[in-house]
This record gives sequence, structure tokens and C-alpha cells, in this order.
Amino acid sequence: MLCLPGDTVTEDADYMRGHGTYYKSKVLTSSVAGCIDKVNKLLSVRPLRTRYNGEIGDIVVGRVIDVQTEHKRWRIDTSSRLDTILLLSSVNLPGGELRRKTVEDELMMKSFFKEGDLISAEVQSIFADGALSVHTRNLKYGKLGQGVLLRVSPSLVERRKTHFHNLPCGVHLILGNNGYIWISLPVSEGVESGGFAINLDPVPLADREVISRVRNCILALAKQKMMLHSTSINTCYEISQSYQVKDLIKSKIMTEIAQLTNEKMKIEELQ
Amino acid sequence: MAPKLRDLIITYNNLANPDGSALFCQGNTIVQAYVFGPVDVSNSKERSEKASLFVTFKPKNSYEIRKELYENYIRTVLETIIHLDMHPRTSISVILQEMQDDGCLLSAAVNSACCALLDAGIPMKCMIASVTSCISVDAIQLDPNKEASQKSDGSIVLTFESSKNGIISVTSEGELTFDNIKEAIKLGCLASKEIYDFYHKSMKKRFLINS
Amino acid sequence: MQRLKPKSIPSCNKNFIFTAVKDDKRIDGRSSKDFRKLSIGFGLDYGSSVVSLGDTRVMCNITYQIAEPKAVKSCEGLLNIRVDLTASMIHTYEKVVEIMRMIEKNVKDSRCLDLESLCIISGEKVYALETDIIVMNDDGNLPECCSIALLASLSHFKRPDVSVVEDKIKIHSFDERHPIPLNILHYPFCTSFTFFDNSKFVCDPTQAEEQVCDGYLIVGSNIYREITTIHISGKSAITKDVVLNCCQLAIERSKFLTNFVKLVVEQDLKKRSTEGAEIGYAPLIRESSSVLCSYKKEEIELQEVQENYDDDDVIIDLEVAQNTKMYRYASDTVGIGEGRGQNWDFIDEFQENVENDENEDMYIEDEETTNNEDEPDSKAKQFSKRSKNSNKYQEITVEDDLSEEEVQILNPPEFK
Repeated sequence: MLCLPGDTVTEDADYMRGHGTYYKSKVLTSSVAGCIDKVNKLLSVRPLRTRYNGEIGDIVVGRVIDVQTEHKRWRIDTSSRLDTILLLSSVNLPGGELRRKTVEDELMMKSFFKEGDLISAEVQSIFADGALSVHTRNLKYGKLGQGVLLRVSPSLVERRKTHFHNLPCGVHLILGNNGYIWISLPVSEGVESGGFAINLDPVPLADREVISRVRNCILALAKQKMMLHSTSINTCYEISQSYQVKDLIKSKIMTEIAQLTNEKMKIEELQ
Repeated sequence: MAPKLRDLIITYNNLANPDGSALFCQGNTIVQAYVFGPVDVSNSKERSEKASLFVTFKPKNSYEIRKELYENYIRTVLETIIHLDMHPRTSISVILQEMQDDGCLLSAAVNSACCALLDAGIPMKCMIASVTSCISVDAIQLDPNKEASQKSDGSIVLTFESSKNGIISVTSEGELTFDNIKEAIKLGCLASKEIYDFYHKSMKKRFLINS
Repeated sequence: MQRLKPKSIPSCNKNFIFTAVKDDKRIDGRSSKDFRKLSIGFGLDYGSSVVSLGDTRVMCNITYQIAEPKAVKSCEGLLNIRVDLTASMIHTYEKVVEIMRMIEKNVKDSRCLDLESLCIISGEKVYALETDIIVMNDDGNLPECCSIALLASLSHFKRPDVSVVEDKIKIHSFDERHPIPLNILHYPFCTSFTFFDNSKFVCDPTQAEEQVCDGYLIVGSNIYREITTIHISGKSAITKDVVLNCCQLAIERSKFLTNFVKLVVEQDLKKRSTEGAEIGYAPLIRESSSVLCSYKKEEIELQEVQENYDDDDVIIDLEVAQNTKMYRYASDTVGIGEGRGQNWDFIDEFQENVENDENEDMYIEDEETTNNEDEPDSKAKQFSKRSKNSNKYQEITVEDDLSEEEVQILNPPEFK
């Protein structure tokens, strides 16, 4: 259901206001041009394109822009309106130890994360001006190694319980709430990497093909503005098996597999 | 009397860098609008309760004198409808590039700014539509082209908003009588409804699965 | 106005571009000497044009004013050039100045415009042309796109006729007397080459390639084989032969561009003289022409020809179809031949090192292998050899003292 700014979303007082809406004298009205999204009693309007608006608890994938030793922090690019900050006190030291940060740690900041590194993190808090503060204080967050990064619109990634998936087709997927998606080799459960060491072993060709196929599937879904979550990506992957990986970037085929995915998911929902 | 607007064509998202862009044609008057924001702003320009809005109107030939006037008009109109308090300490920049002028340039600029903001997903209270009417010897013409507006006695630019169909802003040039203004408002109301329809249709096309 | 930070390129992307260029391959499928699709559109007013080279889009507007001439050149008109990069918002001030200065040097210092014809009363009143070059989208290769836009606008522009009666100047409106076009002596176009690793270069770089390159060279040249400007920047150390080869390439490119610009201007002026024809940008936008809207290059799949085919269908030989790829660039343009390796070589005038291309595929194009639509901007026509019977391709005349008129088709083994 499409609505433009100023259109009434609902007059029912039962619903809660989500993103993209505002109250105009007790009537819920839309403030952006987009589709109405209903989750239980929460109504929000999802625009086609938007900058990422962070919330506490979101998982984000971002690239380090620079290291600010004097402020003890890193600036991360997450395609949001203000740069995201990663404080030195919010990272785990290598090896997973817990101790106070010393002066040496400050000078060694570059050896932890340097400019251009890709990391996954969780939003810890929001500063007064709206900038996000993230942390990597869990062993599943940290520097990302070999894989493929995709940038899609943040409105296509739903908020779910987990954003880290090990798909049955054999890839590890991180769906960042900011629209950055990371595809890499499967990570075995229970391995405590510590978040700093990255695996630089050569990746075999078969695995690379699987990763490329998943990437093309996600792009096909994103082009048709379908929501991205592990079920939809998995379904799309299975449907795409009838084509070669390099054919998946042709626009006709992208439309076709996205539509087939849509239909298949509707059938599964009804079951 | 049904108002007759010239052909309206719009293309969204035709520039890669800005957050939102729209190329708006009203007959032969073409304006390219693009929007950056909300983005970081330097400390001197930041406002603690709302976003700072910067509007730049770039005429085709850079020595034109009208631009300050147009920029002020457009900025006051946009400040009314954008939810500036949702993004404090940031800035939203709207840049309008005149590509071709065949009359009604200010109206076309306002309409294209509205479309670019829609494309960028910036929260707004409602939509706006702007129409120009020109009066010559007691005959009023809606959406004149350059020739007609140069021959007219006076012209008036009205900007309407979609929630209550109220008038946000008016500016006029030349001689107008009170009756002229009433007539212009009536015509403008009808024309603005056509423009809202057009926005709706063009946005719908973008959401269709096969477009 | 806020300056945005440019998106940083990941180092693995950087390395990939480098390795690909070494093998003469590029990310968008072109070969190192292929140029992107060029389209030019004209607006309602004379002198207003939009040029798009792939996704890079530049608009140029020209108007005139009556002003006093400079004291030292009292019988010459004035030409003021301004370049505006606010749409991209990621360029530093230095880059703006660099581009502006390059365009100025190329057009003003080379005296391509006859400024004396713009004089009305010597020492008192002359025409001053105000040029605004506005960059709408930057996807690499700005100097070339800006120079094409400027020259297209200059050749399209018409100034009103004036008559001087005693001391008074009378400017005639366009209805009274026909406006007069400018007098352009030659067309100096800029061509840019970016270097990776000191010897490999690519023509018409995209923005990613520009950000990653070691250095770049911009050559301004015209069809009379004159070099109007050379600008080298960056950190690559290139040899004299490479520079000379690039100059030769630039000359070929400007030959093509000169013909193309003249043709497009002529077509537009003809349209204006016919009654009821649609001029200006509005019809271009309505048709989603690639000048103002982005296009995505798509590969076309060929089908076997059936018994009855429409006149609209385009038929090509099976042999040709098997060896080439066809791409659709816009709703009305199709091209063959982009991305195939180079089948020609430079004849070195100075008999020193020769740049040997890896490709051994000496494929002589027959007359059937033409572009499907006779678009003047087809890439396959550039830099192709001239077979004995065909007159359609451009000639690569490098040596002046060749006894034969045609170009020698070289086989790499001859150069040992």
C-alpha cells in the first residue's frame, strides 16, 4: 500500500507509531513516500531509499574511516547520517583478556583496527547528536576476513532476533541493519576467534561460486525491493540453481527469480 | 473552467551521488533538483533543535540576479513542510539547477524540490504543489509559457500543501486586482490537485515490480 | 555547502583493477582503448547542451553580454569560462581549479574561436561570451566530457546580428534578422589516459579507475594533428614513446569527435528549421534518452532467424554472431565489438620501442560487420582497420611517407 507524505495511515488509536509516521492531531499520518508496514500493532512506512537510522541493539557492518588516537576511538562508515563511533573501551583486547586500557593500548590502536578494515558490531548507545556508538565486546563481532560486502537500502533488512546466519547452502551471512551485508565462508560453531585474527587461507573455487551465487541472489531480491532475511535468500538460492552464476546478473533473469521467490514464499506462508 | 497544465514528466534518481534527485519537466521548463542529507554539519552552522536547511538555486547563466529571491522563497516553503526537528544537528541541502526556462520557473523549481525530497526519504508533513498564473487585460492564464508571461500585466505564484489544501506561500509581480487574485486561487486549487495526482502516479510506478 | 567524504575503495578492489588492467581487461567489459557511449542533447536556447559519456553528465550553457574589451586587445571579444562541480560535492577545490584551468588553456590559448568576429565597435563594445559548464554527474573522465560539452555548445550557439548606426548599436532580435553562429577555427578536444604501473594505460577511465590510478595524462588535440595542451599528473613515470602514442590516439579520437559534434549540431539545427519539430530537453526526457537518464548496458541474446522476419529485425551473419558480443546501450542504440582485444598496433615513427599488444587475433572486418544502427557514436567503428574495399572506417594514417594510400596491416612477427 503506497502512501505519500500527508496521507492518513490509520485513524485507529490502537496502533503504535513507527518510523516514517507522525501524529497530526491524533491521526497517524505518513511523513515519507513508501509502503505501509504492519508488525502486530506497530505501523511504519518504509521509504524506497533512506539513510540508516540506528537503534540500540542493531547489528551493523561498517568500514573503518580513520583512527583517532587522541580521542581513543575509531570512526566507522555505516551509511548513516553521522559517522558511527567505536570507542577504545568498547573493544575486546586481542586474546580476549579483560584489563584496563593502558597508554600502550592507545598507541597500538592501529594494530587493532586500521583504516579500511571491515568490522561487524552492535549498537550500544546513541550520542546526543544522533551519532551511534558501537561495541565489539562479544566474540562473534570483530574484524571481517575474506568475503563479499554488499550495500543495499537499509529499509530492506528487517529487524529480527539474529542477524548472523549459517545458510544451508554453505555460506555465513551477516545482515547488517544498516544495509551492509557480508557473505563469507561458514564459521564453525563454538570457535572463539577473538575478533582480530582473520583467516587468510585461500578459498577453494567451489566455495567462491557459492558465495557469488548468494550475492547475485541478494542483488536480485534487492532490485525488486523484497525484504531480505535468511528464508527469502535461501529460497532464492534454490530457485537460482537452474541458471549459471554469471547469468544471474542479467536483468530479465533477476526479475524472474525474484518473482518466483515471491510466489514460493507466499505458498509457504499459507501452509 | 478546467485548468490546463502543460505536460508533466518526472524522472527520479538520475544522479548517483546525491541522496535524492529528480528531473522535473513542466512543458518546456525543466529543473533538476538534488538533495543531500541529513548529513554532518560544521559547529558554526548547526542548530541544536532542528536540522539546518540550505537551498541553492542555480540559474542557467551564473550572473543572473534572481537567484537570492528564489532561494529565499523556496527555503521558507520547504521549512514549513519538512520535519526539521526529527534530525537536529544535521544539515539538509537542496540544490536546484535550472536547465530550461519556458515560463513558471519558480513553480517548477518548488515542485522538483518536493519530488527530490520524496526520493531521498526525508520526512515531510505533506506534499506541495506550486502553480503560476499570469493576468493580461482581465484574462487569466494558468501555467503560461515565457512569451505569454512576458506579455502579461502581472503574475502570481501560489504554493499549496496537500493536507488541507491550504496556501503556504504567495508571491506576485506586476499589477493585479483583488478579483484576479481570487480567480487565480480558485484555478490554482484545481491545478494543484492534478499535480498531487501526478506525484502519486509517478511514485506508484517506482514501486511496481516490473518497472 | 557541505563537502562529502569520498567513498574509500577497498584494497582488494584496488588490486583487482590493477591486475585486470595488466591483462587489458576492465570491470565494465571494455578494452583499454574503448570509450564509453557518447550522447549529446541540445536545449531550447542556442548554446545549451548536455553531454553524457557513460554515466558522466555535463551541461554547458552559453550566453552573451555586451562589454568593453580588454585594453591590450581592443578588437577582440571576450570568452569567460566557469566550471561548476557542486553536484558531485566530493571534489576538493584544487581539482575544480585544475579542470577549469585545463579547459581554459585548451580552448582559449589555442585560439579555436575567432574572437575578432565578436567585435562590434573596436575599443568600445564587444561581445562577451559567458560560458557555464555544470557537472551534473561525475563518473570519471571529466576533462574530456567538459571539453566536448563546451565545443558542442560553442558550435550550437548563435548570437544576434548587430548593426552600427553612427555611434549607436542596434541589436536585432532573432525574428528580425537571422542570428549568426560563432566562427570556430578548429575543435580541440581533450582526451584522458590513466596509467597503472608506468606502462599500461586505459582511455576514458571511470571514477573507480581514476581513484586507483598511478597517474594520468590529458592531451588536447584537433584534426589538424595539432596538440593544444598536455597535462601530466600523478606519480607514474612514463616514457616518451608512451606519451607520443597517447598523442596519436588522442588525434584519432578528436577526428571522431569533431565529425560527431558537427553532425549532431547539424541535425539539431535542421530540426529547428522544420515546423512543429520538438526541440529542447523535454522530448529527450520523455523518451528516457540516455543523455539525461542513466542506462544500463545489457547484452543481447541472438536468436536464429526464422522464415519470416520483420523489417525491424536486424540480421547478422552466423560467423560474425559467434565471434562477437552485442550490447544494447539505450532504447535505440546497439553496438558490436566492444571489448574485443586490439587488432591493430602503432607504427612507431621513430623506430624505437614498439608497444606490442598481446592479442594475436588479426581479424579483418568485412563490409558486413557494421553496426546495426548507423549511429555515429558506435565504438566498434573507432580504431578499426580499414580493409581494402570499405570506406566506412576511419583511416589511421600514421606514416606520411607510406607509398600506398591504405594502412599497412601489421603482423606482430614483423616487428622483431
